[in-house]
Amino acid sequence: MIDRGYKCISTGNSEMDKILKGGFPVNSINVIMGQPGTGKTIFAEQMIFHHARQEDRPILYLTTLSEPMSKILTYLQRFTFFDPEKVGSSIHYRDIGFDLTEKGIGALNDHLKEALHLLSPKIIVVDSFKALHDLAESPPEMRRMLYELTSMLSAYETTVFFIGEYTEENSRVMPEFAIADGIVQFLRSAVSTRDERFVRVLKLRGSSYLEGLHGCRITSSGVDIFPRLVSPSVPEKYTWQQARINSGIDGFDEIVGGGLLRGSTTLLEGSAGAGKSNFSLQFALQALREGGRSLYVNFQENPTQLARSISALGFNPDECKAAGLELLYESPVELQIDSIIVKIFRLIEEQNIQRVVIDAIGDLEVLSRDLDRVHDYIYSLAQHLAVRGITSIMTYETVPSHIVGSNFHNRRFSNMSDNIVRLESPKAPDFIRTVSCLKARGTVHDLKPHPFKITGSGIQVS
Amino acid sequence: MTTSMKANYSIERISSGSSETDLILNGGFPKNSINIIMGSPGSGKTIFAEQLMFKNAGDRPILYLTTLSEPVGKIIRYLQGFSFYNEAALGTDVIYEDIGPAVTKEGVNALNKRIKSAILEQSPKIIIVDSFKDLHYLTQSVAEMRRHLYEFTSMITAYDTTVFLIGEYTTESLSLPEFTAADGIIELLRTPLGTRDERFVRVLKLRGSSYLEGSHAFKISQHGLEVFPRLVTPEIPKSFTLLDERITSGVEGLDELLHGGFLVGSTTLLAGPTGAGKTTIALQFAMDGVRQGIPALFVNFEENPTQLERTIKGLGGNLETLKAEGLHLLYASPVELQMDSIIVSMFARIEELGIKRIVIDSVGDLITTASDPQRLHDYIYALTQHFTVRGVTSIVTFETLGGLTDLGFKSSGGGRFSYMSDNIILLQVGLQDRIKRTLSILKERASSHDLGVNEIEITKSGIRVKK
Amino acid sequence: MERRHLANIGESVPDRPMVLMVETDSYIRHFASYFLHEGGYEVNCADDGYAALDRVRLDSPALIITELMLPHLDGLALCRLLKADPATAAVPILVFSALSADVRALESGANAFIMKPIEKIALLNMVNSLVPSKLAGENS
Repeated sequence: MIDRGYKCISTGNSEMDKILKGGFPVNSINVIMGQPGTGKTIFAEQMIFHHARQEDRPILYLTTLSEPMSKILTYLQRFTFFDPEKVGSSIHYRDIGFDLTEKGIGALNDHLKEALHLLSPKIIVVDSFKALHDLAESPPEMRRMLYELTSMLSAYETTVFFIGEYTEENSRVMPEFAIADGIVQFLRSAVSTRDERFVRVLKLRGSSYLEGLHGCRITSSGVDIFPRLVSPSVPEKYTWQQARINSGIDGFDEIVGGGLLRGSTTLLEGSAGAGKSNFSLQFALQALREGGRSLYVNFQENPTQLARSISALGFNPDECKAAGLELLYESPVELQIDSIIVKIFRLIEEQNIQRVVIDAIGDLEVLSRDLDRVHDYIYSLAQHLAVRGITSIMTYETVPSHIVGSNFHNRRFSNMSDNIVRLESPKAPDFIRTVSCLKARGTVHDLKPHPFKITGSGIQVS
Repeated sequence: MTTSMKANYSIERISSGSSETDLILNGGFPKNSINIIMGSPGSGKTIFAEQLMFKNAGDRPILYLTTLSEPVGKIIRYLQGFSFYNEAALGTDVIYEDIGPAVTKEGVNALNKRIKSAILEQSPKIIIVDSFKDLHYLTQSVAEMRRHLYEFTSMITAYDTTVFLIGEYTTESLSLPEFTAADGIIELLRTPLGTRDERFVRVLKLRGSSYLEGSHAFKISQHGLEVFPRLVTPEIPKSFTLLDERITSGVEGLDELLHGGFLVGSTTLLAGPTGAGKTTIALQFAMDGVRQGIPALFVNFEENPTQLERTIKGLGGNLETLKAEGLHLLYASPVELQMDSIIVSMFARIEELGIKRIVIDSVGDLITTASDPQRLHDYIYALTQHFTVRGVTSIVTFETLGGLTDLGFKSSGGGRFSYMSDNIILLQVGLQDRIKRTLSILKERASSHDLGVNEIEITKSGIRVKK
Repeated sequence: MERRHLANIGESVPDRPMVLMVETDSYIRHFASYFLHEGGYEVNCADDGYAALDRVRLDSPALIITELMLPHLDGLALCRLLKADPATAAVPILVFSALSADVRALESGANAFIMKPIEKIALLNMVNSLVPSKLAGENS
């Protein structure tokens, strides 16, 4: 956790704490906004049960007009973070809907005054706060109530959360947004027939935070958040800068000045069947021979198909796994780019990986509507790998020239990679496969196409 | 109400009346929930509710309260056309009631009074209010609406009943107070596409339950809403089961080029111009399976059954005999093609008939009819993964234009398809001193494939690769 | 909408067995009272644990129905206090809650647990099974 010079209150969600650089400021007023079904209430509940576990001061949860307390509880009981022992002992639920409809919005302050006095709560949640606007006789009445509320709260040590189905339009005009110290928004957007969920911080007084949209999803354990990957801010020392590693491909290292630079990213392009998967598998398996670990990420071949490719190279897939080959198969149709990249990143950190293969980055591009987002993510990932000295290959499938007429070249991916290696499919008249190195950062390399063969033990460059 | 002596919290469900919708809802609507069914006029909201009502008819009554929209007599007249309609249930298990006059006079308060008396006197299992949205027009102020709505939800929550609020809500309506109270929100969409409409159902919220996210296609038939759940990528088993078994292609000489045939569960893209022999090779593959007692499915958009029969005859086969032996045909006219329904019926056949070989002739037709290339792409991706998991070996044909190259291939989505196939076989027709047909393997996953261009010839028993 | 008219319904008939309902939700009170009345019971209500303790002494109910989440003195504590006092230990307690806490309720001395929301038949069946049958039988 980063020291911000003042105390933070954790959200109970370590990924969200990373986004907020620690959490919400202590004794602040915060707004959690989003359309119905985006996960606002679940997020808040996850947070209060986290604090309830710390056997600290009590927590007050006020439900206003949106739903009776018994309903909130009914659904809450299905989440894994729910602990019935805490209800009534450390978490106090109060349904003030009836009083609000009878006495008007001032009833909120009456209840808060009593609760502050009796319970001295560490956290207060008001769900929904937005509903109070509908009950207010006039906008000035709402402002007066809010003014009274904030001055009352300022005398106590308590952190407050207002939850509501606010729209972005609401956030520009409603007074609680002006006084809020933190604003977090939950969103959902439809991509073709898929739905994508995001969370973002709109405001956080007194602290920087991770800007932009972070992917999220709702599971039985609460809101699962995938912080956006950003480029590493402080580059560590490149002590390995000049170290070269064995690519694992017979005869290839001579073309690139003795091997791939440690920490470099290689774009491996070629049409279907050109040998990209063979090449990258050999690269990954080489780490195992040297006692290291590799991560092989792929989007097309499920574990069965990949095991088949590994056996075709004369390896036993299960032995490879045991020796340190980490396989990650993800269906890019079901997952947002955010969660895929975050997963890759977590694996790299947890498993002490030295080599990474992503087969193929084109898949991410093809399956995402937001190309800028894909490129930003890949770029950050490459930067992270570089500072950690992890060598990577990213394959890119070019469409066979027989079919599209001319190959297109992806400039953005080539710009962000240190090396570009192209595999050529056999063509008439002599049907020879070739490999050429089009770019090799920091290396005197050979640009010529070199013929190679695919044998039972993989690619051999002559 | 659940009486239990164990702290075992399981969720009871109310069926939507359609097993596919229940699949999307992971079993149905959670019992005792408040749900909103939203959509524009004609989107199928009322039919959705009626299907649900008649399906759940029995034990405690179901109450359908119409506010302003339509007289009860008219509603029932339209109902009679549906197969789920059950006259015997009407009036006892399913009760229609027009509360229009009362709410016009007293607004939402009249609805609340009716709900209260219904709970006390009738013990309704389900209450449907159609249209709930219209109540907003009868309410003086937002504050009044909020108050009444609070009373409404409090009563509903106290009693063991499941509620559906129907209305012509739009995306802008999501900030209306009833959406805060809703446990479930179902959106029915209709988008015009050329001369036809595409209909989708989407779950926006379903508290206390997981659900299949995204938009699912549906159509309205005499059975009500027929829903086609979005195809999602199958769960892949974590263990490695090596399927390195190969099956014969049925094309003489091709298996040698493929190291013994197609791998079980692989997808092969068979591309080539018109007349290159794509359909013939695909048929040979299917018929080869049938000869070995393996049921095969031929999905066809291009040809009508007569044309197909002629092609089969040309291969020395007889359609009727082959059908009896396990060659199944699925013909869909590209004009009325809805991708989702094609795929659903394809999977139904695969399961039902134990299909192990499948031909899709041609995927290009799907590409041209698809309104949304992204959706098509997601579908085809999931489709090939489903085939792999089920051990179904497939050939999909793709027609290339203008001989060797097709600039439209990539932009139309064909290029994307090449990424997803395990194998790509290209057929070509050359005109030099004579017509020369060739076959080349551009890609074969997990194999070092043959590199050359191979001449093929058409014989009485089909296409074969010349030695 | 008034709290008061929701709470007590029907004419008071002194011979009927008395049920004390400890509940904060006015709609639950209203519906439950109505159904219990129909089922031949007299109903009195209390909306927190301490008020309930007072009423038990005044009314000598045949059954206590209580929610778990109550202000000031919660339902579990109420069960324990009632069972610890010889004067009230014999009165059966039915816990009626949205919180799935049957085990804890029984451990605290409750005789039965039933989950919200209300369903008329299930509620009456449960209440009839807990109230000594001769009392309820005479009046229904």
